[in-house]
Amino acid sequence: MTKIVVLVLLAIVSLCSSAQRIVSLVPSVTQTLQQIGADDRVVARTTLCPVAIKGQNVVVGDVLTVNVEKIVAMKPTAIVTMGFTSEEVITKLRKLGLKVVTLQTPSTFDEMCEQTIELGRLAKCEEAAKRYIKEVKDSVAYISKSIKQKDYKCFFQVGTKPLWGAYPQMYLDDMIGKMGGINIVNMGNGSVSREKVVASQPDVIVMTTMGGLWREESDMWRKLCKKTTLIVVDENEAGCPTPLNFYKTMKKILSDKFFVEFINSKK
Amino acid sequence: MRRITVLILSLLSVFLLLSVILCSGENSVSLMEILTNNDIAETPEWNILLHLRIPRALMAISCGALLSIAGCLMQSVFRNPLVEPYTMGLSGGAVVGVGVAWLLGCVGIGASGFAFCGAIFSMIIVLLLRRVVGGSVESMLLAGVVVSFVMSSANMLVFSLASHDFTPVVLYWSIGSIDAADEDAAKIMFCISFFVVVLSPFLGRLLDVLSAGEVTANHVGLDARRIAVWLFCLSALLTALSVANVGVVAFVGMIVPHIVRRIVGGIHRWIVPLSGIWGGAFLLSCDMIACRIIYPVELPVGIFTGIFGGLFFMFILIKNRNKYQ
Repeated sequence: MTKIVVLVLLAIVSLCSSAQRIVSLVPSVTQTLQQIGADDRVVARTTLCPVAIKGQNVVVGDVLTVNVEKIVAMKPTAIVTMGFTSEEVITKLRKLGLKVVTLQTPSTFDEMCEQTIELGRLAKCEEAAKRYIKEVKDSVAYISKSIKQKDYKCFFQVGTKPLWGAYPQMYLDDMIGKMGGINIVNMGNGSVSREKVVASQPDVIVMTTMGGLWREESDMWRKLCKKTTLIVVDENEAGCPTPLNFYKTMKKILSDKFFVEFINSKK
Repeated sequence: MRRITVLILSLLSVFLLLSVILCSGENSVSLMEILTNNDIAETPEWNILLHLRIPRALMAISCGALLSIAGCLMQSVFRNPLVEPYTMGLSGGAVVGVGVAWLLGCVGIGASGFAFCGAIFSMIIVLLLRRVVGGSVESMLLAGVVVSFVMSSANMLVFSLASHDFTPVVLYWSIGSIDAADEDAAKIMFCISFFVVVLSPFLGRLLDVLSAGEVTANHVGLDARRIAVWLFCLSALLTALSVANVGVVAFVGMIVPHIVRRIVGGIHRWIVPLSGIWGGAFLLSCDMIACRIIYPVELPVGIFTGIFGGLFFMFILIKNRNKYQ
């Protein structure tokens, strides 16, 4: 299924035409535009955005602080922001007559797909975006149907010191649901105590690489939750909300040998 | 006699506080259950007690004790009630160390090592500055304050250069937290703090003389400046050990020696070890509040030491208002 998605992506590249000049201040937006074959429309990006595959690789700042002059110098047709960019910068850019599109952090897979279509429209690449979304949605639906074990308790750790987990209204919570699991963090903004996690006796703990801290965390969870299945996923994929990354992370978890062992043990 | 009573009561209070914290709250297991349930080791509550609460409590007691003793030593050396490891730039140096560790991609235990080195680096800068400025005890205090400001700016620089991924981690470190205390580190720290508290009364006479002033100390044959340097280094070491494990926990080293002095008087043979015991109890109490006040969310312990420290000084200021008129 992954091969099919990759082939479709390559085909989509050829469907895109017409020049737009987009400044992307959001890593996930840059990656989405790359995935729908509109990488050459991105004329400037942040330090955390993926490097340009084709086209320019101009950096205008990091996610929190941007160089307004540099953005203006790129003569963008649109600037895409999310919650990180300050209101003052957005207002300034609008006063300069520039089109600023502010997206909300997607809280579900479906919202991610809708945003992708919107980005496709912005990049004059709507058809390619729709094809991409159809393929990814079909892939996600296919692997969701293949899950035999449902209603297992899951904790998706995204940070440590302080301990953070996926929470309701976060796309990773949607992912847990699609994988048949129940998120043990069922309220709040994700900040949770270790005691709460241990007391909930999760069947599965998924953790991102967290800049290398996953090793220490694994050791700790093995001591605290001896019967829990531990799975590690790439933070660059799990933490970057694009439809393809969503699918890849799900696939990684569901095909993990420890997860498969856990599912088989429940049959 | 009164001081011995205070010491015994302090030790009993710490023991009682520890028992209450370990066996109360959600997900707790009572002593009765531990004694009667044969399958207790299979329960998540037992894992919580053994691998989370006990190491955390030991770490809180140890770091509270070391910070209080460090603060007590500094206040006696500099004869200034506002001095503590935080105001002397040692904690700031540790946070810079953590920031540098993350910039170099060194995480986890490595970051603690960098924090330790950062605190020691600050200590060295203070000592070098002291030599340049004049060598007196007052000049060391001024050097410490200057280093504190410089380290704050260095922290801002590290934040600016860092990716936003690890800014929350460094920020969390700079507030202080005992979350996920390492078990082995907690045992080692407890042993160290135990020996420090037990041996600290031997510094009593030295500190009594130093507290009387540099001139008085020199008159009785002590090289006050040299001793001040050694005691400062000892304080720095104790602070570095604490900060490397739990981050920057401010005010513990300032408040606790004050309270102890009010209860037992001015004899350092009693002030120093009691500061250690009460410092441990104080940090343990603050950590309990941090864990439970909005359970299951845990707050950094430094928030509460800061709040209580501030309130305490407000109280002292108001109580002694006539002195300042």
